[in-house]
Amino acid sequence: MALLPRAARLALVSSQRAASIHTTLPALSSSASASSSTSPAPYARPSPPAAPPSMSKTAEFVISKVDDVMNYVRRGSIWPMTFGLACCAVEMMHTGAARYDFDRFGIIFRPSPRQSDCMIVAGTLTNKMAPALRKVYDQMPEPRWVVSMGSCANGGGYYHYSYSVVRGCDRIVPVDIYVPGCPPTAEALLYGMLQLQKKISRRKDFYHWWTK
Amino acid sequence: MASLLKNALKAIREKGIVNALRTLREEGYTKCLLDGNILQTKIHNIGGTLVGVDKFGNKYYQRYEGIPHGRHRWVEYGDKGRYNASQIPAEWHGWLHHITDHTGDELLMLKPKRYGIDHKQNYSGEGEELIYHSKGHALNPGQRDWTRYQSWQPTKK
Amino acid sequence: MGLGLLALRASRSLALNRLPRAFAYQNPSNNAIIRGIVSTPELQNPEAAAAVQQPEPAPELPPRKPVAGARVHFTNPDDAIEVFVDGYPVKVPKGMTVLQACEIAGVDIPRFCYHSRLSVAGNCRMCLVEVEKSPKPVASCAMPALPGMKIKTDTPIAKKAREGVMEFLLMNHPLDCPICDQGGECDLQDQSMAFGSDRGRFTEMKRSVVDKNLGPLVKTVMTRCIQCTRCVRFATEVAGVQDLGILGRGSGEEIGTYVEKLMTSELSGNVIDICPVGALTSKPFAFKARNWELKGTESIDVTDAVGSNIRIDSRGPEVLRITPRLNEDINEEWISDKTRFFYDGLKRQRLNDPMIRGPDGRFKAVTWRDALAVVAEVLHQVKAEEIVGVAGKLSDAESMMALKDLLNKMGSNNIWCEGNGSDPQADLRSGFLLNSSIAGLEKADVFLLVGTQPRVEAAMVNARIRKTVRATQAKVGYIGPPTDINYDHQHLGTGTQTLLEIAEGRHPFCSALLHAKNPAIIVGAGLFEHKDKDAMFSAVETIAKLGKVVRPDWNGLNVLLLNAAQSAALDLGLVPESGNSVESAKFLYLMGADDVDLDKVASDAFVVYQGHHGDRSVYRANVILPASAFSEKEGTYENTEGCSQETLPAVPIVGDARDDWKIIRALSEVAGIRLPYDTLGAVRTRIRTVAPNLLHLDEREPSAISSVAVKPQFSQKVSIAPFGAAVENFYMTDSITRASKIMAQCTAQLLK
Repeated sequence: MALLPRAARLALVSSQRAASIHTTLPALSSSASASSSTSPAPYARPSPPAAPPSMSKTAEFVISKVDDVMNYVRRGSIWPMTFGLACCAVEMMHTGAARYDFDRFGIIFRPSPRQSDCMIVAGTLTNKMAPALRKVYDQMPEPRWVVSMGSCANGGGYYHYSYSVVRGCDRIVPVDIYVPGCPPTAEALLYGMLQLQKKISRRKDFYHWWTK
Repeated sequence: MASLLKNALKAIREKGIVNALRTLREEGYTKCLLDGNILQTKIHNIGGTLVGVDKFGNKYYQRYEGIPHGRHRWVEYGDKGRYNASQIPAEWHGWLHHITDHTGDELLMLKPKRYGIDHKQNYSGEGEELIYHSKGHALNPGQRDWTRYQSWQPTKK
Repeated sequence: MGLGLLALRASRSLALNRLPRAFAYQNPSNNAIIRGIVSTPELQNPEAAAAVQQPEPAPELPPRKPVAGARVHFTNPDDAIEVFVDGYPVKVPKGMTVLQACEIAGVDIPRFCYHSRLSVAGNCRMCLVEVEKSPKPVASCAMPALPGMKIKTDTPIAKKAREGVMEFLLMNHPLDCPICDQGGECDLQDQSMAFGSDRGRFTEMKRSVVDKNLGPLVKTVMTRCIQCTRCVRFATEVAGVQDLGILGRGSGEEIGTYVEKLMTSELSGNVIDICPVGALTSKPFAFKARNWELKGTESIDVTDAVGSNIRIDSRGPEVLRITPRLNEDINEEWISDKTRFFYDGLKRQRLNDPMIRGPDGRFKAVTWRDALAVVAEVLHQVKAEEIVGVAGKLSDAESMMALKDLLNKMGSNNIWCEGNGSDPQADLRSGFLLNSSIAGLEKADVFLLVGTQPRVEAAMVNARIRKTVRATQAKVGYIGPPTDINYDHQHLGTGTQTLLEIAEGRHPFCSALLHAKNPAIIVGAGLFEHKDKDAMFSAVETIAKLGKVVRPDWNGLNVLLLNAAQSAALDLGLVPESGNSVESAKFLYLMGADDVDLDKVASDAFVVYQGHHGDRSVYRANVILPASAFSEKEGTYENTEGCSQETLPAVPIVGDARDDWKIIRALSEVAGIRLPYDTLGAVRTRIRTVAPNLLHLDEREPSAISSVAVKPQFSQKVSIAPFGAAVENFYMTDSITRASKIMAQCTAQLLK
């Protein structure tokens, strides 16, 4: 066992040593970065964001109030780009119509990507439609949000195993709110839009810009 | 309005001023002043019949006269600060949305004891630890093990 | 009614006029069989329909392709007779059945009981065809073709007859396809699509049969059985066990093992494949997956030296089952139970992280960089002749080549493959191959098995010998410890004594050997490890000379190897310099070698174990490098008859493991002696310079020179010790099978 202690010592210091050995491991290079645990790496929660750089209480208050105003304005006038693709679109129309009345939340359908803040993907997104969806999303100005409405847009839904359907519109665009249902009721979509409002009100754009 | 005042005076007489004020706060009357939604609900409540109260403290009212049809059932949330449509349990949802005429208390009797789970409101955006994550979700601490092989465990022999 | 019939006839004659052209147009070259699935009302009146059909001439019909590559082999051209199948003239040899003639003519006849490798039973009646001038439809599988026979396979009479048979079969068949494991690959299901009715007329109770317990491998749902007796015939004819039989008669007829017992054949898994319904299904695979969810990868079995062709069916990262692939030269269409069911070992006891044994004697998972750095460091500290490499039973040719190159670059040539012994003979390929080839064993008429038990060492070779013995009454002599051989044989003796007697011509078996036309001697590779192996092989060669076993047209001197890696290792020249290399080793590189005698390893030796299972050698290892198993890599294996074949990756590699040759290549880089190949292709280019035959995939490379003519005579004192058994437990021979739970169950229940 003469070599063993040496080997063990090597193992302990090897993290520095190995770096000094000049190697171009052809196939194993990716493994060098792998974790050394025996089981698959358990999920670790990201640590809470570090404390912001020093800022006086007053400045922070003012900044947060500016943010609040911006968020208030934004969430009070969400103009969704309608992307009605299938039966969900009918429920979306119900939500926009008199009984549930999107207008009272400042939500006005805006059939143009250039002037809209939000896109409601309502229905089955097919492979053929996917480039168009992405193009429309790309044309929307920042800040922009996406609401995925219904099972098909969430994850393919009933057509998950179809040859021609995108298994969830989150493969194409980043989705903020998923509204479950097949199709979701008008109330569910309304609730989803309220959730989006809550999400918008958590934004800290000005704060981030300031502390950048 | 007169009856409201009468009721208030009656409450003060029965409980004393301190207790009456506490009840007032708990019932959300103080919040009314700042939150228009609660104020609107409180005004709406006048003349409404209390149909039931669920275990979260949500109060369900209905009134048929003088209210356009379709708005005659409503809820006053038990949580006066952070009220949310998802706080309504499943059994009351049907009554509230005119899916059924059975009240939540009636429907609760049909709830299976063995596997019926408690209602949980939507905590999206309130913090990851509050949110329900399915067993395959990466954020679920008891995440399902997707490894399809069993690795050799180093034991000394 | 009469008017309607008339109209129907008119429309039918119109349709028939169009039919031939439509066939030719649809499929001019491929000519798939088009069988209309229509319920024809004129079946009620077949005579009338036939009358309409009569004047229909069939002048220029396009030639059709035989079914599934069926070939005609005329041993004697005079025996050829001509029959007409649906109007096509076909020449077939005399003695062929009508069904075979139809297959050659390109018509696939539906069948349940008929199987081309089993005897004809003729009891399912599904293969009924109409033969002109025959009063009734005939069962084509049992009817010999006669000259000038006019066979009609697609007439209303034949169709109606088959529909009737199908109705009877479905009478007692449970309609439990949704919960049946055969669903999707069931002959009955498929054929009922063509011949089944959409409703049954049988309103009585269906019969039910008690399920039999056939052991841990075969699940039985006997109510589904249609009494085709394929399994019974397989067990008696191919597997050579009289376990299964048919009991009772009429509706009480059922398949069973006469008394309550398990099916103990090593080929029992094949009854799962040949069962046309879901009566016999795989027990470990039960309710795991549907066959259409599986991805099939055509690969090679590595549990023995036969290299059976298999298909690995996987779903995602899991191997879910293994089924045989047709290869007439190696395994026909059978595989052994070990091959079929050891796959669950691939999921257990896997090494997935590089590990280093710390000073406290415990393993700690480290990164590849660290592990390789430690190995490289130690590799440079020991003397060159103290470095020893051992390739394991399951190593592929590429990784053995890389290991040999690495050790040679370090200045050591102490590398060998386990199972080959410390002093293998690798100069002449004929000295370690099954020279007459597995298929060629069918030509032999006398077998002499020396120290080998093919039934446990190579079940597929044993099935071939049994086939020969059954077909030609070939004589079999066996020298070795008492064992269970499932065909007629003479147990000549237990050891070297008998071998010498035969070599000196004193033994009665000599006369059989001398009078044989094609004698075959099969020597077990278990003798490689024997210390008197040179003397034994010279005795065997003396017998070979005596019996004229090696001739230009017939080479019957065979060695039956045990492990998948052996022949490739010998082809690549993995021969150690010194006989006691393990004892003197200070640096031992075990590449999947789990059967090395670790007690012989010096206590201060540094042991590197590179492999995929934590089996035996890991407990002595200082560093563990995880490698991929055969189902996860592309590797070349040479089987015992010298046919190189290739495994293909079916599932992803587990954890942080890597391919064997890549690990060695990376180690060489860290150690500063870079091996000159970066891709698998480059490794194969390197192999081409050493053993080019390993790159000729799927073709058998016979040895050029036979060893008897060239080898010098040995004269060595022989100890008269009996031969030992090379394989103690058929089900557990290597690290994967030892990790398998199913194999452990088999060992516990079947090897009693």
